[in-house]
Amino acid sequence: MVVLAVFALVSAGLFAGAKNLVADQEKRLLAERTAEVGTLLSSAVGTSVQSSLSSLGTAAQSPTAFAQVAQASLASGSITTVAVAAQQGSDWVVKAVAGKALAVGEQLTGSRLALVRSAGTKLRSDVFNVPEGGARLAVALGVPGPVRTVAYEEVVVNPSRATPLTQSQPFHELNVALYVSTRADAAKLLLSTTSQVPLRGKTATAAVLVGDDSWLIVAAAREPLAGTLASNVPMILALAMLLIGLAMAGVVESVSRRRDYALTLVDERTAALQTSLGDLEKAQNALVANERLAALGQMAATVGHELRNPLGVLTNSLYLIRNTVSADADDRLRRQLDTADREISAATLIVSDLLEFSRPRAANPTSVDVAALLGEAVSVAPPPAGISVLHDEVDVPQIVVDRDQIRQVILNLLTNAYEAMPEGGTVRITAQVIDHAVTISVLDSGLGMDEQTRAQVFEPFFSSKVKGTGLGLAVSKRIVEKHLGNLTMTSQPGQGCTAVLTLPLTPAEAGVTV
Amino acid sequence: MNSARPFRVLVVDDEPGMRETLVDILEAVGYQVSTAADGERALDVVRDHEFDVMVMDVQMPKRDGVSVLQQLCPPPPIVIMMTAYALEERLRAAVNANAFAILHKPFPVGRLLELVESASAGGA
Repeated sequence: MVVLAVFALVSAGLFAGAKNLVADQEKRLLAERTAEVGTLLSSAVGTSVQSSLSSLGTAAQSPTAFAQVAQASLASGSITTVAVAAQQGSDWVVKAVAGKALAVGEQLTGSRLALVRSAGTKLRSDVFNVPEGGARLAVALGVPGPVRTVAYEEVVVNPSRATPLTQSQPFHELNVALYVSTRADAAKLLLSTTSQVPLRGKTATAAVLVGDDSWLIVAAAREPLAGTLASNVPMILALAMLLIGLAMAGVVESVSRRRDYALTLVDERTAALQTSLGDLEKAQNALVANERLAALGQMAATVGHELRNPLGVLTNSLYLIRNTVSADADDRLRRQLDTADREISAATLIVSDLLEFSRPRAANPTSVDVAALLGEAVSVAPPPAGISVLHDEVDVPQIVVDRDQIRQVILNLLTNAYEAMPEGGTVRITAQVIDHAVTISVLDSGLGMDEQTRAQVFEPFFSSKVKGTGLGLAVSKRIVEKHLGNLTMTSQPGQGCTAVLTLPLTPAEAGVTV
Repeated sequence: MNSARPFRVLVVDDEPGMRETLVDILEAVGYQVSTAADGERALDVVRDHEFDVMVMDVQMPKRDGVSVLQQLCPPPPIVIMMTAYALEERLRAAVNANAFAILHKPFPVGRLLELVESASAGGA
């Protein structure tokens, strides 16, 4: 914008300067042309009128010669009166006349008399209104002789009617007003090329010497004398400068915009780069976290597997102890053995859930007797004191599943049921075939749970219990779904829980092969 | 159970506790039980003696159970594998092809006895 303002100022200056120059040139040209017109008219008008009047004066001696010369003059059309007057005392009397106005012997009066009196060897001229009406240009020239005689002519003038100049005539580029006076006196206007008199605008004046008189010519240019191009130069210059200014402003604006764009681009790229760096850092952190998790998972798996060997030995030892003492064991010892079994089972379950969650094992399906599996589950996780377990199996055929995994699920449901009844109660396990699926239900008579808790029980690490990994039900659901089965939990607060496990009856439906 | 000659079981496990308890458990039932502490020894023992059932751990030093299983020539009628680890697909396939059953430690003793019992009944 600054650029545009500078260019506007420069072009205004140029405009003013050029305009002055052109005006000066115009003024000079007008003055020259006007002077030329003056010189031309001086010689043309002065000479022709003087010779015309001289021949008239000479011809005045003979009436015949006068008549000839007068007729020739009148024939031109614009001359209305041709006369010769002589001084008689203080009066001037017409001696010979042709044309309109005046008569032989008539005394001259008014302006005619004043003009004739002033005439000498040099031509005198005047413009005035005559008594007959209208304006006349009158010229008078003294005729040499014993009696003071003057040759006199009148020409009709109509200064209000413009005498237009055509394109072919000299000085057609000027408007001219010719005054028979030394000044621009409207009453002395002889002729004008325009009806707009006095001339307006810039004018120049020149004297036209006609006999003893000095006429005044006033001229104005009809069109620029220096030419249209020259007169338009200031405007053209100013416009050109403005255009250049606009172009420059455009260029500057464009460059500035490009720079802004480039800067914006740099900012954007920098921001993007920073975002990328941030993302990279996050990803790296996540990677490190994942690696830590993986390392933890590896650790958990190793520890879990290593624990399974001693748990296996413990299980065997307990079996041997139970067999050794069974014959004469009292209830207290039996209860202690049950607790040991249950706790080993709980430890085993924790390890299994942890391993299954961190590294799910592919199913290894075999044909499994459901009733035997349920019995085994209860034997390895015998109920705590105060809780009784009721079995209710109805004609359940063998199913093809991963025995250890389904046992893990049942143990999870069973231990959950135990833990839901801290004050004791009953667990009822039923198995039956419903719609080509084995349906195993584990009911407890415990505390139950509200809807919000129930909705979350299958989420990993969710636990409504004080102890527990929160993995049991999540892993169980995953195992069951891997067997194309279903695991659901229903409950009402204060009315216990029912876990329902369904497994497809046929291997084909299980999607596994034996 | 065949009363004419004792039913012979070979227990192969590098864990002494596991070996000892399994020997006690199986002998209590009436089987004749031998042991080997690793895979190499197991192959040696099998070369010199006949067994009706092998109860063998998968993870062992020197030579693992799956390798022993594949080297047995001629194979004994029944091999029951035990493992404390989840088996890779390759090992699982080998075990499934050659073994009678697989038990994940810790397993209920009753379950092992059930399997050996069904083997002895089938082998009789």
